[in-house]
Formats: sequence, C-alpha cells, structure tokens
Amino acid sequence: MKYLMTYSLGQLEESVLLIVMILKEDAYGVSVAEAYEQETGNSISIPAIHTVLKRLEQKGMLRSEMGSATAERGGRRKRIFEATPHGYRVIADLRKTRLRLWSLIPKLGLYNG
Amino acid sequence: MDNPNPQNSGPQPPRWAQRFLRWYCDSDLMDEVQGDLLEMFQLRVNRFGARKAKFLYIKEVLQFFRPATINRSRFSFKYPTTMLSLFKNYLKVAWRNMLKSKAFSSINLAGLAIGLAACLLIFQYVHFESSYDQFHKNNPDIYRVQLDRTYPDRHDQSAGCTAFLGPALKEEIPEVRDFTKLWGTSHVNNVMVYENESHLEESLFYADASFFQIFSYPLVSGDPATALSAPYSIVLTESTAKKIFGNEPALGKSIRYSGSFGTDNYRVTGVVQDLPKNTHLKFNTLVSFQTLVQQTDGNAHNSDGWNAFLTYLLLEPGTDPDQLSAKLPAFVDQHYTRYFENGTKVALHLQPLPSIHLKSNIRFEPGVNGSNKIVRILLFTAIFILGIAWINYINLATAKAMERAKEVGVRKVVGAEKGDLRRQFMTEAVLLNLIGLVFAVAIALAALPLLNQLTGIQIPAFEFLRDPKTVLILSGIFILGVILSGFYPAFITASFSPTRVLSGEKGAVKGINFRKALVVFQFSVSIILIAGSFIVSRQVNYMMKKDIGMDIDRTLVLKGPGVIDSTYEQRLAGFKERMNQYGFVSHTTNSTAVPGKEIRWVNNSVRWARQPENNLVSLPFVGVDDDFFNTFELPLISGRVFDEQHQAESNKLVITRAATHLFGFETPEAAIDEEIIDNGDKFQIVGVVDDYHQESLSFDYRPIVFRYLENASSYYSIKFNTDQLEESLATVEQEWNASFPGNPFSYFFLDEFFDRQYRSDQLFGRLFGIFTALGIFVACIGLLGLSSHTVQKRTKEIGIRKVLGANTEQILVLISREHLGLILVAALVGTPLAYWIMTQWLGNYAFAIDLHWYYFLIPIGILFVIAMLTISFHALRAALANPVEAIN
Repeated sequence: MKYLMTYSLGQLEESVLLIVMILKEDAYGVSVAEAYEQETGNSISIPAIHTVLKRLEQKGMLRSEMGSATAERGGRRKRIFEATPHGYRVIADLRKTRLRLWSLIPKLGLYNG
Repeated sequence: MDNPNPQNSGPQPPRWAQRFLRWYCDSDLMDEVQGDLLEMFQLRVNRFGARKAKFLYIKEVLQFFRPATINRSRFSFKYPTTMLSLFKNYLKVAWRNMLKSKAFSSINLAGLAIGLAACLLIFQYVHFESSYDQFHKNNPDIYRVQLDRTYPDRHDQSAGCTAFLGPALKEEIPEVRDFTKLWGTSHVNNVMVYENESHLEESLFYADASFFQIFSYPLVSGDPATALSAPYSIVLTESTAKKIFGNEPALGKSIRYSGSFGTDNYRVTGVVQDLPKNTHLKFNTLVSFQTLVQQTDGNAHNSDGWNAFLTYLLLEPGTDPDQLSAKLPAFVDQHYTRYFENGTKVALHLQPLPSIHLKSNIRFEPGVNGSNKIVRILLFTAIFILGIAWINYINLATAKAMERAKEVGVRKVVGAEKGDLRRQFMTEAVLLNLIGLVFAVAIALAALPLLNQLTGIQIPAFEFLRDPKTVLILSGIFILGVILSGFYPAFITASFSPTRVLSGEKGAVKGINFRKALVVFQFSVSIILIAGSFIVSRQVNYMMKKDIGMDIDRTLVLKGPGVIDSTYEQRLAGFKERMNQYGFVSHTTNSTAVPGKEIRWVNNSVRWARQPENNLVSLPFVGVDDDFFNTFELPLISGRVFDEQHQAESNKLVITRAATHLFGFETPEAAIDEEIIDNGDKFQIVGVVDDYHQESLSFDYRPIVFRYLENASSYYSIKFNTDQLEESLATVEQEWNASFPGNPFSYFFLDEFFDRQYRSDQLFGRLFGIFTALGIFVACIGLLGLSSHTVQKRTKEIGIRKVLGANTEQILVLISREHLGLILVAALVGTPLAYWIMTQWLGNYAFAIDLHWYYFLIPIGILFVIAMLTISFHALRAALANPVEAIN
C-alpha cells in the first residue's frame, strides 16, 4: 500500500477543515465554532478554534485574508478562511483511504454503510 | 475606544477583560481576536444570558493570553542582538568605571565582601544551631512531653515526667503510636569495668526498648529492635566501645557497671554510630529500662511521684499536634488527681523534637541547650552589617553621580532612554555585588577555622548550602540587596536632564538628603551594635565576678567513687582524715551536689508541720556532711550547722533563706527547731544559711534544703590553702588510688566548673563583639569614601579659605561639621532602640546589671572618635595641602 501524500491531521483539525469547506466564503472564527457545535454537538471555545485554524494555515491546508467589519463585532474585521487545493487534496486522500479500509472490514453486520 | 460597540446598548463584556485583551494582544491579531470574542459574546448573551456570556468571555480572554497571541515586543526584547551588544557595552563601561575610581570601587568591594562574609559566617552558625535533631526520620511526628506544675507560689516546668505517662498515653490516645522513656544518671558517677580497667562514663541513660524505633541513631552492630529489650543490656557509642574494648568487637561482651544501684554484670547488645553534634540528646551509653524496673522493684514502672523520666512520643504520621494537645487536659484530670489534692495545677505540653535545642530550657534537660534569642540577635546583626555595606554602595554611587552625569547626558543625547540607563546602572550594581560575593566566600572560608575554634563547633564549610531552604533565603536576601542598592542610584542618575547636566548647571544632581538619612541609619545601627556588645560584655563580666555567696576558689572536686561496697564508710572516713592531715588542705567535705549545676534531687511533698496538710512544696535537697558549710564558708544566719557530735543528726535539716520564705516562716529565727515533714518523715530545722547561687546568675536564688548525709558519695570537695594546685593534685590522686582502688580519678576545680555555665554567654559576647567590630569597620570605610568625596569637591574652597587665613583646625571643623550633626541625630534614634533591645536581653538574667546612662554615652563617644579619625584622614590632607596647588 502506498500513501498518496504525507501529512498529519488530527481529528479536530479534520472536522474544522471540512467545516471551512462547507462554509465556503463565510468561514471565520465564530461561524466555524458555531457550525462545529451544531454538527458535532460538542462546544468549543474561540481560542481553541483560532489555534486550529492557525495550525491548518501553517500546514498549508487553509489560507486567509481580512474580510469586512460588522456591527456585532464592534467594528472589528473578520479573518476569512478558505481551503487551499492542498487542503482539498488531503481531505480527498483521507476519504479514499478510509473507504478502502472500510471495504476491507469483514461484513459482520456491525456496520451497514 | 472604551466601548467598542457603541451601537449596541445591550450587555457588554467586562471592561477590565477588554482592556487586558487590548493590552496584551498583538495589534495584527487584534481585529480577528477581539471581533470573534465580541461576536460570540453577543450570541451567548442571547443563548445563555449575560452572566454566563461574561464568564465565558473572561475565560476566553485568559485563554488567549499565550505566546501565539501576545504582543511580543511587550514581553521580550524587540531586538535581541542589539540588547546583547548593549549589555556588553554596559559591562565594559562598568568595568572601566571600576578601574577609573579604584579607591571608590575598593571601598565598595571591601564593604560588600566583609558584610557578605560576616553574613555567611553567621548564617553558618545560625543554621547549625537550627539544625538540631532534624535528622530523625520520624520528624515531624516526634514530641517530648513537658510537665508543668503550678504551685500556689510558683510555676515549675520540667522535662522529667512520671513513668506511667508514656504507657497511659499510648493506651488511651489513638494518635500516640509509640513512646520511649529515658532516665538520666548525671547525678551519679557511672563506672564501667572491663578486664580490671575502669572508665568513668558520663551521659548514661536508661532507655526503653522502643528507643531505636523512634529515634534515628543507626546501630553499627546489634539489632535495633531488641538491643534494649532484656534487663542488663547495654548499648555503647562507637567511641565509648573503642575506649573500653579497644579494637575488639564489643557486641556480646560482658562488662561490669556500677551506678546508682550497685554493681552488676551487663551484656553489650549494640554499638551505635557516634552521635551527630546537632542532637540535644547526647548519650554515650544506654542501659535497658527493664534493668531500672528490676533494680527499683518495679518502682520505675509504677511510681506516680517520681517525675524524672524524659518521655518522647511518636505520633501517627501526619497527626496535628494541636488536636492531640486538646485531649491532654482530660488525660491530666484523670491521671494526676494526686496532685490536685495539694492544690497543684498540672498541665502537659508537647515540644516538637527539633525545637528543643533552641526553645526549651526547663528542668531535667538531658544537656545544655542553645538560645533562640542569641541566634536571633546574631541573625539581625548579620543583616545589619549587610545593610551597612549596601548603604555604602548607595551613598558612594549617588555621590559619584555628578561625575557620571556627563556620561548620562551624552548617552541621552545620542538616544538612550531612561530604561536603558537604569539597566546600565543595575548592571554595575550586579557586577560589583557579584565580585564582592566572590571575595566574601574567600574571606568566609579563611575565617571559618577561627570561628570553629571560637564556638567549639566543627561545622563543615558551607554545610548550610546543602539545605535548599537556606539557599533560597540567602539568594533572596542577596538579590533583594542588589536590587535595593542598585535601584536608587540607577533611578536618580538615569533621570538627570541632559540639557541641564551638559550645560553644567548646579543643582542638577539631587539625593543629598536621602544620603544623609542613610548615613544616620548606619550610625544608629553602629550605636546599637557598640552599645549592645558593650553591655553584653559588662553583663558577662558581672556574672563572672559576682560573689556567688559561698567560697568556691581553690576548691578541688573529685567525683565520688562509683564502685563501692560495705567497706565504703571506713574508706571514706580514712580518706578524709588523711587528706586533712596534709598541710595544703584546709577542709574536706563530701556532698550529693556542688554549686554550678542543677540539683537533681528534688522532693515534691514537703511541708512545715504547722501548715495545712495539702500545703506541700517541692524543693531540691542536698546531702552533706558536717564540714560542708565550713568548707564553702556559707554564712549562717541563725541556729547552727550540722555537727557529728550531736545525736540523731540525720533527722536534722539546714535550710537556705529562700527556703524559709517558701515554707512560710516569717523570719529565719522563727524556723529554728520547727518540724518539716517530707513524705511522712519528720525532720527538725537546726539552722538557716544565707542564699547562694547554686546555678548561674540567669536564675534566681533557689530555696534549698540540706540534709545530713555522712556518706554522701557524689562529690568530694577539697579546699586547698595553697596556690600550688598542680603539685598537690598528685598527692590527692595517690591517696585516692590507695583509698578507692578500681575507681577512676576524676576531678575539676570548682570555680572553673561554675564558670562553665557562662560559656555560651561568653561565646555570645565574643561573637557579638567581633561582628560589631566588622559592622563598624564597614560603616567606617563607607564614611571614608564619603568624606574623601566631600574633600575632593571642596578642594578649591579649602584652598581659598586657607589663602584668606583659615587655619588647619578651622578647616577640619568645616569638613567634619555635617557628619557630627548626623551622629547626634543617630544618637537620638539609636539610643532608645539600644536601650529597649538590651533591656529585653537582660530580662534573661535574674541578676542583671543596671543600665547606667553612661553605658550609652560611651558607644556614642566611641563612634564619634572613630568617625572623626576616619573623616580627618582626608580632611587633614586637604587642610595641610598647599593652597596654591588646590586653586591651580
């Protein structure tokens, strides 16, 4: 078996990366935190989200630029995140690997899908 | 922008949290961080309410406080490489400055080095004194029981407890895990005989089998669990074993021991490693307690009136001693009823084992303990000396500030900020202090042997550095001192205005009043130190010289024979008779005690027959023969002393004046022929003698009862009427060996023996004197530096004054005047403080000197003379110099 690429991605990082992809151009700290909470049911703090986003950016899976300011932010601008092609490739690769692994599990009736 | 959200009038996050965030947050990250937090806050207000939202906001602001988010320039040097080269420059300039003004630097260095060295040496001693009994593994769960008895007229504190105490405590109080009892035998002469060689053993204790389970005195051979179990077992220290058995193994050997209860054979069941010096319980020999139980027919087990047993408790690990102490009154109520009948109040206290050496000084101490007050006074002296040295640094640095002002001005002009300059001056302070520390360590190492010789304690060099707590405190003091001494000059100098300084304006340099205040402080401390050591030496002198109320000069005391049999009476009579025939002997007497030591024979149930039956007193007894009072020339106030010609002399008593008060007699005469009842036995008072000092002048006169005991065997005192003591001694030894074969000849001269009680006072006086001298010396060299600076500044003025006709004396007065004023102010501050401190210290002594006014005038005078000499060193040179040179 041969891996397509080498990377390391934690579970939280993976979820956050996926959420950024889902949110498209509206991905910034608060919206990601909200979406994460909605989708996973676990709450997460703003500092934690910032850390994960920054780490993903350092790994080259996200890129960011400063966006617009809104009133509810006290006139502060947002940092808008967007997945890079590398980010998309990593996610696709992960999915592929996972599917292959799933297919190798003997059908024991534990999982149908 | 205090309110970042002016449109929204709803709940806002806490102001302080916002401000804190703005303070630390990197400005590049400000938008996203603050924006996200605020947006989230609003969402949460709607979702959970304002309270929880605020709480979460604060929590997240604190969580953001980490390296990734904070403004680096605020928390670290912006340009590390520049900082490093700047720092190198500071060091270089500091070094050049030191070399440029060698006199000032060496004064500073000498002061710091001596101050720190004194501090290190004192710490060495203080640390040793505080390290007693810290080595026991069962600390902090070992306690000694202190028995307090309050009689109608006085309060008695004793370490000697009743034998039942330990077992009863262990049985009834669950926190008490184990106990061990000890019985000291310092009142008898213990003789060990092995293969016909006899040795006198001091420091022999009877001890319970649990002794080695509670204390950590490691055994070299023998089983710690059983060594003291069987009767007639004996445990020796290594050096004692070596003394008796040479190089043969001691374990299992049989030895004859003669003590309080005749002679028996004992088996050596253990050899214990020689004791560390820092233990309050110094023993050479231990005998199993079961031996004592057998020898006293169980009395050592059951007696409820024999209060002579040191009782140490081992508590369950982690027991709160207060919790245990709270149970003791109920225990006392149950077990000490016998005492309540007499109207005596009884209380038990717990003494933590390591505190005994410095804090306990009660009856039945197993050895001589130290003094917490002395340790504290020395500690303060050390800190004061160091303070004087640091003040020297501050004073000289601020005095020199004028010269440095130009440098500061130039640095400021080329762009140095206040902070940079402060760092620079702090660097100089640190550098000088560190060099001073190196010298101090060298001085301390060199002086240590002298100190060890003086104190008689062999402390390994810098032993205290192994204790992390001490190291922490010491480095804390050092760092604090460096900061304090560097801080003021750094701030003063760094705040000079460059334009004023560079244009040479006068008054641009401040700090003269502060300097004066510091000098006053130095002088005050000096006055306190001088007055202190002066008064200490007066008190020690007074105690050594004071007539103790009996004649103890030219008195040889022999320790009585330990090995005796039925022929003892005859031998004693023969010995005394033969001694008295020698021309150089005027009297010979035997007694159970001699002055210079606590009397261990104390009877608790004594009363005057006409007093109510429960009006019992407790007082020490001395057994003496009929020559005792003549030998020591104890003045008789009324009645007569013992005389063997009288009948039934053994039922007669002679008491001291203090004892007449205790029994309740109105006059000494009223006591004659009265009956005294001691535990049921009747005695008749035949005489009253004057009070004398049985112990050191720390204690008041003790009430004492003398009983006629013809054959008292503890001490034989021989009064010489010659000063040829050494030659006569040989004759006495011959007679001794003839009369008491098999008993080692052991003697001391009574006056020396008595003065031995003052050894710690003398030692304290000497240490205090030495460190006072060091402190004054450090203050003096500071003064030398200051006066040299003054003279330098006023060279021209002095020259002009001389040209105009001022003579040398006038110039001297001119220079010294301001320092004299400071001494006067210091005298006003220092004298009351010195008076207060010394009154406290003299409170330790029942017989203390009166503090005369001139005791305080003399230190001021001494300081005055020293200061004048110091100042005139430079002033005289200036005054004598040719004015032409000064003006040119």
